[in-house]
Amino acid sequence: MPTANIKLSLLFNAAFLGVSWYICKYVLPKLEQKPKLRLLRLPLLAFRECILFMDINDILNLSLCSKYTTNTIKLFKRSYFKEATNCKVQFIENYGHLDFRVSTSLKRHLHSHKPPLKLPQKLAAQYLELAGCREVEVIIRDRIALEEFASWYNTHESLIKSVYCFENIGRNTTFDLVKKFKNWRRLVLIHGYNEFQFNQTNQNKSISIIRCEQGLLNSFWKLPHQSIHFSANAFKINPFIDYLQRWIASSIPCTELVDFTAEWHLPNYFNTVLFFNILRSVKFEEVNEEWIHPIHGKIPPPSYKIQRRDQKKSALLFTFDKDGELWLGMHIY
Amino acid sequence: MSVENAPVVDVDEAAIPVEKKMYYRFESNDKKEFRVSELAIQQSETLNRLVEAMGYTSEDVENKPAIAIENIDGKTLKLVFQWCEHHKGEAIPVDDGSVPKIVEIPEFDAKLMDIDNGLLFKLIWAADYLNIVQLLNVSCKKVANMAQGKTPAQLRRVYLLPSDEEDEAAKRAAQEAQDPRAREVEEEFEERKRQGGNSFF
Repeated sequence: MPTANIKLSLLFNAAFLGVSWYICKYVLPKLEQKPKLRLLRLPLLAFRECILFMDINDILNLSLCSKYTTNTIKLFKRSYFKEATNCKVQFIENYGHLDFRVSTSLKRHLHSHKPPLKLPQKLAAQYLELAGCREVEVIIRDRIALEEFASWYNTHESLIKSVYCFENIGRNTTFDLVKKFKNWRRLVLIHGYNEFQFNQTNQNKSISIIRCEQGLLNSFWKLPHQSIHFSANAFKINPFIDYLQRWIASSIPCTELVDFTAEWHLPNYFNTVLFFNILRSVKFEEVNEEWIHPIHGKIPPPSYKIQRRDQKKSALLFTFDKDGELWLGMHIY
Repeated sequence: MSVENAPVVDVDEAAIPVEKKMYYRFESNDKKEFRVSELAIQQSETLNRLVEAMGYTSEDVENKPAIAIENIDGKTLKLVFQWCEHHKGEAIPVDDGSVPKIVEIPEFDAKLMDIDNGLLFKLIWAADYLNIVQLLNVSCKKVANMAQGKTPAQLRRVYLLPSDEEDEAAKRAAQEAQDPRAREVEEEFEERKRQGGNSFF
């Protein structure tokens, strides 16, 4: 009797295994083989419509499927990303999201303001690539946010040409902020009413002071730079004089500086009190000859020869014509 | 004058012109015939222009052979005409350029499109071919809804999207099939580049 039971149970087991094998092999695959929708085989107009109906997150995920989908979606960027191509992208939160603020034109009614898009960092990079957006505006509220953004930026820096930072971090210095960005090409730092631009092309680092208040941050001088430019707004107040006096007094450690320019807003700067403020503490020699600058060409007299206190460098202060405007230059040698 | 005193006029009902509805006959590529009202046809810009150009009278419609639609099969055409009949007389939507586009799928359309993806694909082709704007809108909206919340890997499965490797392989195969000599030249060029030659010639 037990033998018969065992035989019967074996028979059942064998039958069960056989049926299971048949179902797995033939039935299940057929059930799973539901006809799929070949999106890329749709007519172009229909494909475009499908894209336009999709949510931005879905579009970005779709574009991540392959190079082909990325390129195809790029074709539609004019319609889908039209509003974003000239916008500044704001990095606000440090919770793994980028917020996109599309700048609205004045013609629009106030109530038509769209809420900012929130995207995960991976999709944000894809968004920037698809939209061709090359300017990122950053609002940094704390050190963690700064580090988050810098690490994101350092991975995707090829997508971005310039970064706008609104620095409101009390204890952070300009130097702290800028050194976070490994390969920055153009960094615009806005600190209160101050605005600084940092440019880097082929390792030639330059700083542009767009506008600033009475004083510059001390750490500013620590940044390596080969050229510095003061805009007309920054020129008329102390920072320009501070910088020049510091350079002459050798308190600026940067000795790489080769080019110094400033937009001149006064007709005869050399006769102003400001200029005497610069020169009163240093020896200078008036040069009354025309000479040729390697970049700016013929320089008419007078020029003023000055020397750093550490005797390492000398410079010629001069004025030159730049697109019809008079600029101040310093030739360092 | 009171209502009671108003003159009574006998109306000959037969004398009132009754607008006769015209039904056009269409034939799918698998020889299935459909009768579609004139009003329903207006939803399709292509068909509307076609029937206008033909200038059929009621007799022509009955006596002449059905208008053949070569590119669409009977099953798909049935769905298309069902949709057109249901939405006849409705205004054709104009694209306002808003992105993303906002379109609601009505209950009838949702039921009509409760079909397998293969047929949905054909329906979109038909809507595009016959230029039925609203049908194209709702069917594309349905396709777009399939992508909601899906990861790239899931999207590849849903839409049968080839990966980069598959794309490359297909491209190579197509090149080889098209011009074997071009492939040889390319290989020769690569070989020379490896050997350090600056110029191919």
